[in-house]
Amino acid sequence: MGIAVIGGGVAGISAALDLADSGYKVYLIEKNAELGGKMAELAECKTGLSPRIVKIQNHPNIELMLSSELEGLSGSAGNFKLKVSGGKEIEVESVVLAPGYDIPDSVATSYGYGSPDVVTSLEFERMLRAATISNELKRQSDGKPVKKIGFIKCVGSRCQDNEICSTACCAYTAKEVWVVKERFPDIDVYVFYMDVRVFGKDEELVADLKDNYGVHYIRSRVPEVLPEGDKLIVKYEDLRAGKIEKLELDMVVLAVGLLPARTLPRLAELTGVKTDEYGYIETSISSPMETSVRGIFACGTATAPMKVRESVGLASGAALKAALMSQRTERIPGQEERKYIEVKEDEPPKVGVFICDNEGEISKTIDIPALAERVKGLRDVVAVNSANTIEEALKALESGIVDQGLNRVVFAGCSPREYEDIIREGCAKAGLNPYLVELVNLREQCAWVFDKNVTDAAFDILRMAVERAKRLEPIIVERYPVVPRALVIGGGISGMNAALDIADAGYEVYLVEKGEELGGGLRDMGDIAFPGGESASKLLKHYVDRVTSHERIKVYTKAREEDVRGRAGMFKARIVGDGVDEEIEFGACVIATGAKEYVPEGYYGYGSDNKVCTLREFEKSGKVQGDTVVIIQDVGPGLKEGAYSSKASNIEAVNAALKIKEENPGVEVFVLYREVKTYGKWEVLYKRAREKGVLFLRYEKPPEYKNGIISVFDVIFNDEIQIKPDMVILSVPMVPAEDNKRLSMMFKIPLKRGFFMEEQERPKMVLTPVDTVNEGVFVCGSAVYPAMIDECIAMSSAAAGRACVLLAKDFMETPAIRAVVNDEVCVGCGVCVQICPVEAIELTEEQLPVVTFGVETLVGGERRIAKVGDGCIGCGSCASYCPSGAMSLQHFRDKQVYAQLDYA
Amino acid sequence: MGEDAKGEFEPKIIGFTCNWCTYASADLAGTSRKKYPPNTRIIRLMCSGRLDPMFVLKALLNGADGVFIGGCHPGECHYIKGNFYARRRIAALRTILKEFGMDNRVRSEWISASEGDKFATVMREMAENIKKIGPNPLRGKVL
Repeated sequence: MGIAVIGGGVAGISAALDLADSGYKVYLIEKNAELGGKMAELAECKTGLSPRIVKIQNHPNIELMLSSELEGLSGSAGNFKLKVSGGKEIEVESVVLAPGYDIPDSVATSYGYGSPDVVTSLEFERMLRAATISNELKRQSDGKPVKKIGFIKCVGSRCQDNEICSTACCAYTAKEVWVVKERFPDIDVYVFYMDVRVFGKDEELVADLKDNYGVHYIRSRVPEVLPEGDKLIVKYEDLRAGKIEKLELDMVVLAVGLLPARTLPRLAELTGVKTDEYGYIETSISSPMETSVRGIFACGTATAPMKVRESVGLASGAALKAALMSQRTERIPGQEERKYIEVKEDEPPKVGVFICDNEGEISKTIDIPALAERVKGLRDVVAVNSANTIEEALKALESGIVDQGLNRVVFAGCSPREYEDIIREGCAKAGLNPYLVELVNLREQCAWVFDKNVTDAAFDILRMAVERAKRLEPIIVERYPVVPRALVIGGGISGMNAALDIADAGYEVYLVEKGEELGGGLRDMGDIAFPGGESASKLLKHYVDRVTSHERIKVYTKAREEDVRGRAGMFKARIVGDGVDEEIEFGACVIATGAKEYVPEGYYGYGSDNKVCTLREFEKSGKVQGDTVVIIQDVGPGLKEGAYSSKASNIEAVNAALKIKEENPGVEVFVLYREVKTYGKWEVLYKRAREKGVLFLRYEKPPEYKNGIISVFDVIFNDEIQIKPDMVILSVPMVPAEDNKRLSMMFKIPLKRGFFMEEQERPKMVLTPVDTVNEGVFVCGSAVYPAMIDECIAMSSAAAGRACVLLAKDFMETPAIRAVVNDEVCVGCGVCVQICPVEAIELTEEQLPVVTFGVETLVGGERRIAKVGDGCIGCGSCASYCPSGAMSLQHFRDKQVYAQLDYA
Repeated sequence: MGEDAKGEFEPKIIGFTCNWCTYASADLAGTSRKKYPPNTRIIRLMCSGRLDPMFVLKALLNGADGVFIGGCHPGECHYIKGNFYARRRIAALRTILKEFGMDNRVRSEWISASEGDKFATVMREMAENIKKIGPNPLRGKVL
């Protein structure tokens, strides 16, 4: 049977690929004629998403059903029967729903929508794409260049029709503003907002926009936009002056909220899954991918409004959960042994050059026929082909290798960063060693950028590539078996959840916790509960019980991992702790070290005044003192001091305020805040807290606490307010685990602000939220940045899912680009040993034979030579430092670089 | 490249970029359609740590009018500290290049994957700058 994935947007694509890559049969059902969903409509994102779409189209385990919709579903988990439009019927064991989102049909007329210069954010993405190409952002009404542009946030969200916050708008607006300022620095940009709810990297981006790009962020809910003459007049409230101001703009972008997909109600009806009061598929805090129907899972914006990063994370998690209910029936691609045509060193090169036009993108500036003609004249070039699409170019390439006996290939088209794997795979399939291919970036680094003589430049670049290709050598990679076990570092909620998911998938797990017991941050949260979720203490007990009783999880407490070696699929390490010193082997690793509360020593008398405590301290005790409680948000270091604002602290503060008020209606509760960051459905907490009478006072200058009185200048009342509190609760940032530094060195994953950096595929876009630069090592939860509990659970399932994709393989291949030593030349100086950033090189002593009358005798003494170990990551530092020229980096040998220099 | 149709000097610049940051920034410059003159020929290395000073010397000896070296910002190297090695070696190389008056033809920059505009700007500045300096005196000479 298999698994059906419904929806071919970024979430559906990610879920389908994770499943297909681990050997499951996948039916991907998409209602449109093309994959990509909403993400493909975004200005920058289609380029990044395309390689995944190509991968899906060529995947042997995926049956793609485009222009298809679900028409019926019967049966139950393990045996669903699906009716798909066009009369097709499929049988699957589980289903993943990823229908995505839609934006509201109509926008309140007061925003001037209808004027051609007032557009929604999605329409603006299309304009941005066109503007990038034409290098001019023009008004749609009269074609005049835009000089002043305004972005209005929270249109169609946080309002009566849609009371929750749409989460993604703050970040996508920041991204759009960034693109505008990068492309058109002279355009004045104004952003009108209620709260800026951004976290992690987005928080840095917004700070950057304000400080370095000169973007005006104005806090005001804009009541109306009036077209007047050829201008748009935006009215807003200047809080400081306390009056209504007017601003003339050329163009207005409405950052519209997200709503459940229009297809969702019908999908819910057909599948029987429950939806919540906002129309999203109902899931819970502790099981964010599970729907009300067993065997049916949901991910992406079908469950709540969210960004791409979280959508992809949920998709990997949902894929894992769906896989648990299904049988693996297909082969995993790339696992078969490959035989390549032998290419001898002295064999004359026969180079084939393949130029892909990327559907007309390149021929706009490059005369491809003329280029091809000139390339034909290059020595050793025996075939030149130009194709319109990558699929056609790949076909030509394969037949060129098979029919014309090419032994070197030059592939020119879009950036190799996107299609490298696909093209190398194409060569391998045709029988040519995949490292006899040279890729040329004709689109991003030539056709799109050069301002003149583009065809000449393209010819130069191709000539360099042909010469380099001629000197490429086949690289034989070795295969090694994958150790089907995982190491999970950190025994908090994320670590425990990841361990459980991996163990449930059938792999053994080592769970290492440095503290005395499992639980991490959950232990500090007492009986606190979030709406619709279990209390922290119940959750803790549930998880600890399951982890400790799971037959495939081995728990180590008061222990830590040391001496990590090896690579994805075959890591080795030692677990050292209380009476334990054990050598372990594992194929994949999940880092879930979490974060902890900053200790606000010296802030508001913390430590000396017994009225003052932190949020987690309050949660743990659950005790309310006296009649007046003040919660102060954003205490302690902020972004400028190196900390991230924490999702957890922000939401828990509002949750705590509401809880205090609900349980003690007589108590006055004040929340002093800079921004209320109750994103997504958490907005309800904020709304409910206000309804119950919690008073929110917004400050810009931090409040003062002297002689038992808190004074705060509230910027909405425009007046100073004094409160005499009986209890002061400080909401402080969450800081990274101290151990992160040590782990970062050991696992070679860079940190940012003390948190682990996820791998980034392209600037400002995250399609691999839990992967890291070190293949086989995954990060999740608050080890990445301080996340909320539901996100910790979702992202740890994602990390577990990604780990399982790797563990499902029987074999992995050694990296092709790695350092190699010429034993005969090495003098054993040891420079490389010191240079190697990952300590992968060691000196070995070898007995030096003396040859007498042609007979070797082992008496000549000893000689030291360098040996490159498994840990080599292929940076090539050793090759450039080696004084004797013994060390080289495969695929980047001196002669290969020199060839490029000689023919530049 | 030499001279264009009008007989104007068109410099030839070799650009060594690391795969993860500067090469990606060049891609971003492309996606953002940031125009710059067609003088640079990019050679992709995995890491700026792979930059052998010989590459730079060889480029200059071959007659390149300028050499650009791009890596990740300090502390953001994909390979932990390859860019520090590059920085150290370029500094050492400069002392030699100064002797030959070639120092002003070599420029290194840390450009991250999200700095497409910076990449294009650096390319433009370099082309202009080298045009002012004039052709590499070694061009066309057999050494």
